[in-house]
Amino acid sequence: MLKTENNLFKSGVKYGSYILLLVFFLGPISWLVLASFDLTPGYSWKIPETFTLQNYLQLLDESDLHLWLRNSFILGFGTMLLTILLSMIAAYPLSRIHFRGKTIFMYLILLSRVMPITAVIIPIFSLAIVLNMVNTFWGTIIILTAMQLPIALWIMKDFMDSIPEEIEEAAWLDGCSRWGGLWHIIFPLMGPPIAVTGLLAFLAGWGDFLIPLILLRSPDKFPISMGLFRAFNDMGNVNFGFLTAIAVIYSIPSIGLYLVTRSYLIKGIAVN
Amino acid sequence: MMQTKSRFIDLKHKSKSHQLHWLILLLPALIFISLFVVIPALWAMFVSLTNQSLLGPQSTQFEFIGFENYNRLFRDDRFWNSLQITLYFVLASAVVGQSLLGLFLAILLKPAKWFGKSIIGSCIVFAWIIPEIVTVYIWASVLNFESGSANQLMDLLGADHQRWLIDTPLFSLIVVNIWRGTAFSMLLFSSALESIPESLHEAAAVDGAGDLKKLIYITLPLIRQTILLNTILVTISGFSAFGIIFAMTGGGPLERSEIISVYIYKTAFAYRDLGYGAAASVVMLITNLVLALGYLWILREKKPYAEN
Repeated sequence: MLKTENNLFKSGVKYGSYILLLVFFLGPISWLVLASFDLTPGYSWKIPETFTLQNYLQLLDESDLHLWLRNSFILGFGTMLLTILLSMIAAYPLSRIHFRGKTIFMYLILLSRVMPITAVIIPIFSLAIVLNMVNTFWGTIIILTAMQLPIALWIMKDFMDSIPEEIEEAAWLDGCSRWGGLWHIIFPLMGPPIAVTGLLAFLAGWGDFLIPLILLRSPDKFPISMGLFRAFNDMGNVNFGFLTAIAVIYSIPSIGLYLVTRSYLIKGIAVN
Repeated sequence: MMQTKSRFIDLKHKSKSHQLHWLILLLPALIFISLFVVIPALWAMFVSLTNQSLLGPQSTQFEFIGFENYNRLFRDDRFWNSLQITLYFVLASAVVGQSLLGLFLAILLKPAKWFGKSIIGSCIVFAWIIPEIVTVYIWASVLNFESGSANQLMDLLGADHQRWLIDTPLFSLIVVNIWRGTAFSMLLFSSALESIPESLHEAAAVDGAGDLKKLIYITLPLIRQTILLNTILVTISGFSAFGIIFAMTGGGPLERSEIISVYIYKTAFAYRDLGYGAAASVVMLITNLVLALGYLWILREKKPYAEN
């Protein structure tokens, strides 16, 4: 008797939390999506009386959209590929070669991230000027990558540590070179950490605002974040249709990449 | 056996000292990190000892003024105010909000046999992965005083409309940051929970342990490393939170939500006082370092225990 009552209470709490969670986490996002299909969108949460694609069509007419999309993809994928490549090759010596001070070195790498971005943005900009990186995609990608590398190195190294060395050694005994073993044996097993670091780096390259803001100066290099920001700051007329539609389009690639990589995600966040 | 095998391999793949040439693979990553993460931090330390300004003659012909900026900083009420606000923000949103809620969610949503659970889990992750500026736009609308959905909800509950970003700016920003950041902690904890063998819980159940007891005596001790790691990462990201606060309240009204990264930004870019802003950054860097080292120290101490 007591047990059923207890169970009833428990499932009450459970489903109550589910509903609260949905309201809190889905509520704000659903406002955005609904408003983007609304002919008369506003601040209030409402189901549109008539669903319309007009906001999106209007956005397509906006000549800059394809340019913004292209630029954001360059930043997102560029940062993703460079981060994966550099952290993967660097993880190998960190995981397999023994050298003095390795533990301290790993912690120093992690600690290098504790400087707040606002504090280092000016020196970063000065360096970018010296290295001729201002208003270039490659420069922006390199800086975004540098900020992702400390975490990426940790994730890659942690996962590589969990791959037994015997697998590699067996390949060497079969006459495989060390480089060959790395290329044919280790890298193909690195799916989960590649998915995680790739997702994180893409999100940074695609979504970062501050670095592109200070580095990319000419309008033909602006990413979507700049387009959204400029429309957003155009306080005189709040164009809900335009803003909500662009915000939805801006979010889709991030969500898509998450859905593709999600099965790896939990496995890839190696914790030890 | 192992010994001979690896010696054989060492012979085959050159001597141990020769292995060091593999360190060259570290080089590109190291160069990038040094150039754009380490050098800027050192540069900020150097500038904090000068009176460099952002524009004008003093941007190139600045002087070395010792610890003058720090002296001024420690007498600046606005700095202390922002430090205090930052601590509230980090404690409430990062340490308590994100971590506790993240742990709760990881446990609540764990056995995802029911489809609904993975839907809820995905929604939480969506809040984390959408671009920051989209988050800002969504929440600025939700918290809109006149007709935002937060006040629609207040209507529904029969409560008065709130001026969220004017009367309770810090609280609102904490809620937004929890909304955005919780998924990260949740994923970290989920992956840790995955690694706990189910048999442990079953054995405890046989011994008559309830859910709460299982949580306290089995789950929490086994994931304590993850709890610490999560606390480090969440604290660091809390201290460097900038975009949401800057774009939603700009630190206002009247500095009531001016966390230190916004204070630094304003000092350097609005008041053009680079040296002074850099001094504030260095204080923040040191605070962060001390906290992170403290966590790492605890983490190290407990390692033998958690390795079981």
